Amino acid sequence: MRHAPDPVLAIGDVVKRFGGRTALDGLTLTLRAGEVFALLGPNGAGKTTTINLILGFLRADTGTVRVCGIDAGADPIVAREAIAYIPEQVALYPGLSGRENLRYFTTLAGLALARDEADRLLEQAGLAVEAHTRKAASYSKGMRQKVGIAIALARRARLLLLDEPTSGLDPSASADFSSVVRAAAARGTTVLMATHDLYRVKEVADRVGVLQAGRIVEEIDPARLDHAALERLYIERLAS
Amino acid sequence: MSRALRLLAVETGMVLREKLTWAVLATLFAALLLGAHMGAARVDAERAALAGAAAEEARAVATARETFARYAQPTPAKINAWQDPTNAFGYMTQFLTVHAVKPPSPLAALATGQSDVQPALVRVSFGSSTVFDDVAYELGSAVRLKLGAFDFAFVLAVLVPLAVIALAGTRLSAEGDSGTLRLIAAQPIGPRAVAGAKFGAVAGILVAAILAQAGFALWATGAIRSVAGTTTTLALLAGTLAAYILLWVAACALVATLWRGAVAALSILVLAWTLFTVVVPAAASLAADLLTDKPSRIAAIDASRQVQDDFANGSAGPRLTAQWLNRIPGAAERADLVEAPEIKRLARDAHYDAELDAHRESFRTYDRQIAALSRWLALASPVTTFDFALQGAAGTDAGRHAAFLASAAAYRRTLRAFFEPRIVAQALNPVPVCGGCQARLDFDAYDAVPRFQPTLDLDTGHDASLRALAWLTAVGVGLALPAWVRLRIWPA
Repeated sequence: MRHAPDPVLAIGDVVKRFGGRTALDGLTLTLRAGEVFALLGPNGAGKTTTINLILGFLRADTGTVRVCGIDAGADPIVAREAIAYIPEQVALYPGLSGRENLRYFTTLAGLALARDEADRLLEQAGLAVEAHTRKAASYSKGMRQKVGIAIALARRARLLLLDEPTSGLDPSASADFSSVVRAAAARGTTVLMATHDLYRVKEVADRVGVLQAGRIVEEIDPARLDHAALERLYIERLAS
Repeated sequence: MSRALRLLAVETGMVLREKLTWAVLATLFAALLLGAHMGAARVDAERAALAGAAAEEARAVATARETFARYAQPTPAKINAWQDPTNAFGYMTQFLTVHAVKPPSPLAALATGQSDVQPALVRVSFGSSTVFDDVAYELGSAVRLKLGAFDFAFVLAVLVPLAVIALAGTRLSAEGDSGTLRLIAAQPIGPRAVAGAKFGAVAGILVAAILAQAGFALWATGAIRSVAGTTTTLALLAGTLAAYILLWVAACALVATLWRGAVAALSILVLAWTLFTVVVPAAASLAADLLTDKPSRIAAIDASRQVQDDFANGSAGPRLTAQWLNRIPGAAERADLVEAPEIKRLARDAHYDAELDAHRESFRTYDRQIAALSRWLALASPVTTFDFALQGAAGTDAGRHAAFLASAAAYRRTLRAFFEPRIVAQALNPVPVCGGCQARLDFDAYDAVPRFQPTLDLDTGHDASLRALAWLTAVGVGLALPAWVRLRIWPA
């Protein structure tokens, strides 16, 4: 008999409290290889807590978080081998160039990246060649995010975590970003993005979960709805 | 190459690329050069003073010989005993010029220590009666506020921690403030490995740079002219300096694990520096004063005046002089000697010794107590611990000064023991050099007068350095361990 492979991300009935406040209240979510899942929700809904649990920065009070079958709470470093994370603000070392930043962060991940390889990854992420050797202090948010994407590409991670990836990006950079996400999914990378950007969600996500008060209150197939219907449904769920 | 080594190399490169690194190291280098120069200049001045004293001694002997020759001619003129170098008493009280000296050690330029407040040269004379040992100094607590001379020890003990704080104080905290830490933490690596590389890199650079700068500064300014006989002490001091730097780096790491941001980290570290540089030494000094029973010099001076009054007024003087003469064979029947000035003086000094020795002993006991207590109290602060190690190696510590003062007092007793039988012999049986000569007695043993033998116990430097090395290492490990424990997980 053939077993189904482990899901890339399996969050099972997770509860996380901070003092008297419940941040996650029985969150359950399973993502398989190549899926793009968008986590929609207002501020305070539990999106960042979810990401922190997946990265192993927090441990669930009850329930489990597994990345490629590895318990992220018990063995976070091993779990993070499979994860690439791009925060909302990709904060690089301003005194280093884009290339040097990429090589530094991949060194942290245990990779020894040659200069040519680093340049190739930066190009693949969409960073102009002239910017590779320029100090990151002069980078725009979009350029910094491209370095973040290059780090993720270098890592060949199975799970890509994106925290508000398109916030503050101009339309062109945002469109580039969507392409990168789709390309990653096509290579079999699972993507979990926490966002407010319904337009991009509609464009790139396979599934959308509406997170409210620490639990997914509705899961939507964006292919079935146009942008306006998706927005209407989201607002209705938040109001209910 | 393992990931840890690769990361250490990358972090080292990053620290070396920061302008702040070079600015801090350049400033520290200038301070080390200045501190070493100050030490070298002070040692040169001390050597010059000692050479001057030796020349003065030689001149005094030459003058005595000239006087002896000039007066050893028949003449009707008379001279007084105090003008006569052939009179042992006259020579002792008027011509004798000798010094107890504390020569600078080969490493003296490292630390001023107590040298600014304690003498390295004591003139020993018998021209007037002295109750105390011709020393107008109080040792006091040696853990006094450490903000004294701008010397090499000041730079190493006080300014080096600031350099460490400037370069290591915001590691991790600055990344936390900028948000870079979150991207770092998202990589498959634990906080211990990252912190180890970051603090290891800055520690490696600081230890290597400061040791090299310190060595160069000492060599370039001539502060250390030869390392012969001091290599072990210097090696121990280098190890102690490295342990001291690592201790402050460990403190920076521990503060970073509070995850309060760069401003808070710097504030805490500067407060810690102030605490250990100013507050703890001041408190230790206060504690030393409270824990020791300091004798009153005023009371001792009052006692000495009473003893002098007792001897000078009334019948006590002649009675005590007669008693003193009785212990000398052949002198008991010489009633005329009771009024001889030299005999009265010797009897009086012996009486003073007997009556005032308790006071002297109380000062000696206090010196020993305060020195021992200071050694322990210094351990309350890494700054004073390291400073004491440097003073010990330099031979400028309070212990060596106390020993020197004790040896100066002993030298005074040795001189008296040399002159006393000669003075008594001349009093009992004056032997003229020649009939009708001005210089009329036979004392000419000027070269036989005992010389002060300075001591230089270099082992003391070893002990102080070894003690500091062990203690600073223990404190550094004590700071690093909780940091290590707290770095088990990344902050959320």
